[in-house]
Amino acid sequence: MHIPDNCLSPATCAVMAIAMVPAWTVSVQKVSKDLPKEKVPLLGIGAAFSFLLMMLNVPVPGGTTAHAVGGTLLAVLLGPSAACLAISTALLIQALVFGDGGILSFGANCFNMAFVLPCLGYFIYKFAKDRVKTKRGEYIGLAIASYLAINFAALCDAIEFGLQPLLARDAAGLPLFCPYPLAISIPAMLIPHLTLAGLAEAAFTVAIVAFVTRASPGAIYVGSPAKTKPLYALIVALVAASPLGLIAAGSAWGEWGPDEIKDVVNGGKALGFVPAGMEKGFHYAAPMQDYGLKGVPEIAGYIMSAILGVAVFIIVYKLLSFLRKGGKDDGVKAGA
Amino acid sequence: METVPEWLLPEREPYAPRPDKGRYLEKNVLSILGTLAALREKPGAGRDRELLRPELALISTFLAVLLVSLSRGWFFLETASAFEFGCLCLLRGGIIARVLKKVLAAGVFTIAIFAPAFLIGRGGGVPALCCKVLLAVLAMAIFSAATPWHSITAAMASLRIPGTLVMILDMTIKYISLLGGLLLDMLCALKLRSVGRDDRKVSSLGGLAGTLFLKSKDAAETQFRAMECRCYSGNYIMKPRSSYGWREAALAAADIALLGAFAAFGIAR
Repeated sequence: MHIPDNCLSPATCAVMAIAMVPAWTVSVQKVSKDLPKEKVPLLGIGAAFSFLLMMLNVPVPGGTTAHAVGGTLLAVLLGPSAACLAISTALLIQALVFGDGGILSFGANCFNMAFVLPCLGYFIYKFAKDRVKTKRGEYIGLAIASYLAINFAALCDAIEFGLQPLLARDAAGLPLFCPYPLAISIPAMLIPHLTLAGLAEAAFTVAIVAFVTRASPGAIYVGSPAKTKPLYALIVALVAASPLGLIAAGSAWGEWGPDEIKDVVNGGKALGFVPAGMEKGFHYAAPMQDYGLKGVPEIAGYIMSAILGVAVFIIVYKLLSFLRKGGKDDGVKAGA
Repeated sequence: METVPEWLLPEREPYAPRPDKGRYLEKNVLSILGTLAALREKPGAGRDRELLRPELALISTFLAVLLVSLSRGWFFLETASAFEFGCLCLLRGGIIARVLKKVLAAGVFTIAIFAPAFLIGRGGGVPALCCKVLLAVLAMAIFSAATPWHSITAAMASLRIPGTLVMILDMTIKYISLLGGLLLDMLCALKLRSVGRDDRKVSSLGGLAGTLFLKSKDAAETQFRAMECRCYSGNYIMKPRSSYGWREAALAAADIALLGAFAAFGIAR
């Protein structure tokens, strides 16, 4: 997940570094406020721990090994602010000394691995922990949190890569930095993370937290209860950001419609024809085909699709929890 | 004359453990050994002196990487190669070999990543991109190989980075080595104690990392007590550095020349 120099344009690197400044500032302030003076060495030693954690390989199916980033794990053990600083320091040493990740792309790497990963992982973990009663449920929540967090961080990575062909081109129209559009970068980054790396991260995180809880329960960071308001704010922000999908070049790999397949380039040549099976096959006209509505501007259609999608999920979730409670709703008085 | 007791004779209980499958243990041991060796090989781990004032070396490295990244066209890349190889040739043979090994590994990786771009007809800019990645890695590898540990943190301090962050960085570097040694000992112990018990090796990984975390917490407390005994009051003060010499002047001149070359050829489309 480490982005080397020159894969992102300097402008993107600058934007990502600027985006990290508030995260670092808040982390330093929070750590200075919450962390007593005697705990300051823990930050440096936590960074060393984070560095070594990234070196521990976990065996995965297929005879190979993968390493975990441990972002959610560090956030659970040290707290999200300390984890942000510790992982940033580990990334700085990796960039300066081992050439793993660039110095211009340091801000982008920190954004993905030191900010998105631990903060999202910690938030989902706390959200689950505050709602489940059993230890088993807590570990399941932790596994889901670390799995989702590393995949979301990988998605951020893929978006940063995939935007490059749109942002920086030379006079001949060729990309100056990463040449892969979103349609390639997103599956290329997400497939390994959804399968091997994500599972390795989840297994590793749960195994270590289970061990530390058993061996030294007092060593786990105790934060304040998770607030649901930021989650709703995040959903609203994601809905508002959904039109970003419109700038993706073409459809995702394998998701072409009959009108697109003719122009798909493979091996430098466009396909040039529509396969008969696709042209004459079964076509289902969805009410909101391609996340749009007829007669509505594309961006508005996209936002409406996102709102609808989220609303359907929330309705299904609420219905399921209503049915689990045996058809009793806490908020509605009988006879009301 | 005393005879060897029967139970000490090797033929009595021939023990043949089940063949080991813990390849990942060996892989971990090797990768940690490699990193620790790289950390300890660095100048400054011994008594090597820095070649240049570290803050100037850091600024020059950053400048080279930035200009290479911003540049368009081959002429500036050739100029930057000349600048970087010029710096590389001033280092010792062993260090040059280490730097080139790192650059070569990065080169192979970069080509493997960008080769599919040719398949989708976007390979036009890939040769220049690979060259830029190699030059950036080369610049970083030269800085890393030629600057001792303590100088890297001193360079950060000279660049007005807050003392607490410099202290964290300083401590991280020291503790990677200390905790890395500890992790290595634990991996070796696990390897020895799990002979013939393959199934339990992977399940011990959580325990290994968990123990490492608990040891880190203990180390942090011990470190604080040691710092307090040395009058630590929350401030990290660094000693003033020596003055600039002819080497710094030469590097500054080379930096100015590189900037000039970038202005003349690097921004042409």
